[in-house]
Amino acid sequence: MIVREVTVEGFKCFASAVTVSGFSEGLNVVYAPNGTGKSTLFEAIRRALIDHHGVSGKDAESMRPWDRTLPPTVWVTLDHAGERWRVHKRFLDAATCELSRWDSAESRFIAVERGERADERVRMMLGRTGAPRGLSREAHWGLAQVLWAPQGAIELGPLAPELAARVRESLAAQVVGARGAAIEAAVGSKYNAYFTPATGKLRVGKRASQLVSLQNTLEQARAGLARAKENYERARQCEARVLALQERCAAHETSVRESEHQVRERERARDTIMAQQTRAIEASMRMRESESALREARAEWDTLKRARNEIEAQTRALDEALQETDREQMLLETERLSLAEAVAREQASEQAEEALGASEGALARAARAVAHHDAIVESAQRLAALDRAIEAVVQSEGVLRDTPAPTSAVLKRSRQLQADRASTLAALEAHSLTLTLTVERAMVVHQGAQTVSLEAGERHVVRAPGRIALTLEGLASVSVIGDGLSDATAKLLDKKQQIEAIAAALVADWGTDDADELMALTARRNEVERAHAQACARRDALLTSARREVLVERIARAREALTSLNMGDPIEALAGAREAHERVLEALSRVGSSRDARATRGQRERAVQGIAERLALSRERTHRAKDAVEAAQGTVSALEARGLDEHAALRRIEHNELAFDAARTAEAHAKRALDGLENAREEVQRAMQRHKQELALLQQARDGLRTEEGRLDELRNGATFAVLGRAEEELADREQDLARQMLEAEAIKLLHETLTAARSEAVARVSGEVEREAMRVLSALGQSPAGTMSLTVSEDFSPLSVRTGTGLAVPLGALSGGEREQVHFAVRLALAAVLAREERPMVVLDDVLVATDDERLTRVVGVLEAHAKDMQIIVLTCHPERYRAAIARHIDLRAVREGATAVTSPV
Amino acid sequence: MVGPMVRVIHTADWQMGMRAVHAGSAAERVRAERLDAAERLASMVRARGADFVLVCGDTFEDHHVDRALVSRVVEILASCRCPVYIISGNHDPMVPGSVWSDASFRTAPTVHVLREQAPVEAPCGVVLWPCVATARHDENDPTRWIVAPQDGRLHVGLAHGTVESVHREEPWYPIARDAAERAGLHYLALGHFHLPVLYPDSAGRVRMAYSGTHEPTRFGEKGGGTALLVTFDSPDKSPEIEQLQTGRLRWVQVERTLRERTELPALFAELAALEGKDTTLLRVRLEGVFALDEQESLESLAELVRGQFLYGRVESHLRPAPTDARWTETLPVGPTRDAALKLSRWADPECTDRPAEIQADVAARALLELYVMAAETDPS
Repeated sequence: MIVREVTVEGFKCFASAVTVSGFSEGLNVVYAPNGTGKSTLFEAIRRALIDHHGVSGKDAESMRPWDRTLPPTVWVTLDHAGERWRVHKRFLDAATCELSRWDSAESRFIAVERGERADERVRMMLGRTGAPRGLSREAHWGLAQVLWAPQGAIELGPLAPELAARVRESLAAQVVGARGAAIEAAVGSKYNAYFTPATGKLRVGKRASQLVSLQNTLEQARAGLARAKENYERARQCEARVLALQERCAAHETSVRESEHQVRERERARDTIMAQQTRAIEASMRMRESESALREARAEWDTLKRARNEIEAQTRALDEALQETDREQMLLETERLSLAEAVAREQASEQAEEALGASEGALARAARAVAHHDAIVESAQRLAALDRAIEAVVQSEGVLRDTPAPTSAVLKRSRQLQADRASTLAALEAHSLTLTLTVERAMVVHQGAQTVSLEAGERHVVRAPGRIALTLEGLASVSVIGDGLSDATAKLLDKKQQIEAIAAALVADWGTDDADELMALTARRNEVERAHAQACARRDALLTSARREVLVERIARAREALTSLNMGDPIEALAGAREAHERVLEALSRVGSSRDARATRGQRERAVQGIAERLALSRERTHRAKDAVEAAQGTVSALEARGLDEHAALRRIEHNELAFDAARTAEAHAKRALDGLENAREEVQRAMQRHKQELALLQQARDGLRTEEGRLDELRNGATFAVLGRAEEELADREQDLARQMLEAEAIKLLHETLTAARSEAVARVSGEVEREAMRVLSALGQSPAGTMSLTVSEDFSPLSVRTGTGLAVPLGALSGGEREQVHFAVRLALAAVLAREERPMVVLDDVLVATDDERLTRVVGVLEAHAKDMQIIVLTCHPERYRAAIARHIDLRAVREGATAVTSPV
Repeated sequence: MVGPMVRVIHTADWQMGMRAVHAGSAAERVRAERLDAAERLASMVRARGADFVLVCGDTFEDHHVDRALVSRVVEILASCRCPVYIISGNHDPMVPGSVWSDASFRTAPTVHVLREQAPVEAPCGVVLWPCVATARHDENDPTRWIVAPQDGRLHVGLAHGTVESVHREEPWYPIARDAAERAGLHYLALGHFHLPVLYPDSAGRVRMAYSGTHEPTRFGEKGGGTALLVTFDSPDKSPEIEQLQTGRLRWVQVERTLRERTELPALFAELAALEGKDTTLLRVRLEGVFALDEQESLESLAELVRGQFLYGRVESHLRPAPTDARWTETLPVGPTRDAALKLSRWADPECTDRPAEIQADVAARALLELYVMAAETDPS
């Protein structure tokens, strides 16, 4: 990009339109004193080329002229890609951007883009690094970050990553070349068809390569083969099971035949035993017959033996019975004597007990007479006490009548009237006349009905309401009259009279109105009443136990009863009865009680009766023994008459015993035979059971076989082998396809990786060119003899250190300010030189080498002249003398602003 | 007694329903061809007026083949119009539930499946001695039970197994080299080996033979596709044996190691000149080196193989010739050329600095890709 002309209007110090033109494609020196607008001109170019036309805000407002509201407007004419272009950008007010291209045919610029598209296209011209909307910071300048150095800011900071990459790409592109890039693009395109660039993994999803679908198909084929194998294997297993089941069936059939044979064998054995059973039963019958005969012979033997024994036993019993009869007869006689004695004693006892009854009756009558006597005495005493109590009551009632007394209510009323009278009198006294009379001599004084005798010198006070009239006996009548009776006094007087009248009426019965006397009367009355009450209580207590009439009647009845007993003195009669009773008791104790005598008599009677009964029994036994002896003798006689004696019976028994033993042996043999039969039957049962089990197993095996055969038949219908074969073939096909694709993919990957690695190595090699170019600039500035120093830049192309000829790495911070700015200047120029291989770039240096001495600055001019062959360099300076000797286009900005000729061609 | 002349067709190893993984997309065709070959054989039986047919095992590849296929095979056998005697083989042993229990066999009265090892009366007074295979594997000689009486009748054995001296990977059912002589058979018809082989006895008379499969089964089977017409004049004479060609498919395997630039075009011409491409299965294995500019020829060859033959496959293990550096000089100097040189070096199987994870074949292919892309971007 080569700037040819810049027009600024309404932009900071450029309120009016100013056009700076005549820029060459090589070195340009724009000079002017401070404040003329050099940096503003640079800013105007920068904003025109980089900023979005629609920027706003405080920073954007700063573009306006200081005291004007004009819209900042910039026109930049430039050459790019062999054509001339003009950028027209107006900010803030009716902001706009227009990109025009010079049309040679029409000799005028023709707009090609407007608005944002124009912004974007201009930025692309500058370096393909787009700026975001708004005022672009240096970081967003793109390549201009390297190529344009603002005032006093020659130092090159770390490049933005994308810019560093852009620079490296640019370097790589130069290394690779157009055809190499085309090959790389083709490789990359094919690689991207298979793999994702970011991860290097096979693409999946919509953009997946055919390889992935082949892999999927292969997996499906594998799954299909697995299923086919499984089915085929199932069929093979089923086949094996069928075979095994057939063998099992055959084995079971053999077992069934064997078990059937066993059953027949066992049945034969059982039948043999059953034939022996008949013989055993016959032997058993013989045994029973022998047993019966033996039993009969033994019975006869027993009968004979029993008869003889009976005769012997009954003979002995007869003797014993006779002896016992004699003994009982003697005992009977003895007992009869004892019984007579007991009867006599019983009679004596009854007589004594009768006498005792009589004495007890006499004793009881005497006791009753004494009791009647005691009752008479006691009732008479109680009657006397009752009479005394009644008399006391009568007397106390008389005293009570003779002792009147006011009641408590009268006493209370009397005390109240006295109080009222006292208060009335007090009130009257307050309204009374007081006459104090002191007599000089004894005299009698009459006041109304009252007469008072006064001693000489005695003082007498008379107090009366309204008027006092008294008579000094013998001397004078004195009347003292006051102001007259007042109504109140009159009322008090009336009240006093009424009270006195009531009080007099109240106590009229008692003869006194004195309260103490009245109270004494009352106390006396109370005492009399208490005595009366006590007398009444005592009388009532006696009456409660028995009334007087009752007591009198009780005495009368007792006297009558006593009289009826006719016993004289009851006390003496009682003592006599007691003595007679004692005598009777004594006589009774001697003979004993009639009850005991009766008991003894009963015992004797029972003993007599018992002996008589035993005697009868003995006599009975005697008779029976005689009969038994006779009967046994009859039996023996009968047997002997049949010719049976002990010897013959014994022989018959022995014969039958032998026969029985023989029969029993035969029976045992028969039982043993039966035992064998049972076993044989069980054997038959077991054999049949086994046979049944074998049949069941055979049936089971056959069922299983049928099931498996059916299953096998089904599986054969599925042609599992054919399916398996086709699945294997398909898998083989898919594997071949995949192998082909896989080989291609792996080859592409290897090619891509190999190419990328080779490219990285090449780029790493060309990065060194920047360092070498920068060193050449530094050498030209005289910092280092060629080849004795080296510069190291970082990955983002910012200078790191300078390595001296001795190999010592000096960090950039350790250099002087001038040296440091020269290093940065060198790196910028080196980068510009590298980038210039693509297109001639525009380098702007706005008063950047401020710390460089004049001598080196002279060399800087030489360096700039040399690099100006490959790039446009615009130097903005306020020191034109420093560049005066430079082969450059010199532009006097002040003259331009003043309208004078401002551009001088290179010398 | 044997008549004046007995004609017997001896065949084996039809292996119907065979898997043909190695035949790729032509697998179905391969299976179909086996049926066609059987039909051809049946027509030959009719044409030659054979008295009966002996099928010596492995009629089917497996018991679990398609039932329709079994029916079709029975139909073909029945179409011989003469008795057909079949024994089982190791692929289709006589076991319960086997393919031999298929109902279709009961529909063809002339087709006799010999299920037991017992002599069978065949037409013309011939006595057959079938050695029935009852398992997939057996280490015993299946013919040892045969004791054919020398009664003036013609005694013919049928067996399926491996004759001593025949190398097989699976040495099942071994058969003694002198089995026929020892068993007293006039002829022992064998199956299992896929190529026709005749075994003369100590007197020089052929008394046992493999008929070979009626249709070749795979690459590397040189021969096959045959059956035998065995003609007996009398028991005392050696039978006359005629080999019948029943197969149609050719399984061709070409293995070449290329060294010169002229060899690839020559191979192309050779393959292009092959006849019967539509019945030929071709597998080409290439090794050696090639010039990268021969890539087009290589692709043409692959196209020829894949496109014109019934089945074709080229396995290329070629690598760019180490001396062929001319084309790399046409690449731009820089990364592209560096990468090409590196890949070229790695493509050599003898390369010592190739990373272990990179295979020479992949490197060769990568180089080839680079070559193609470079050619596409070459402005000239």
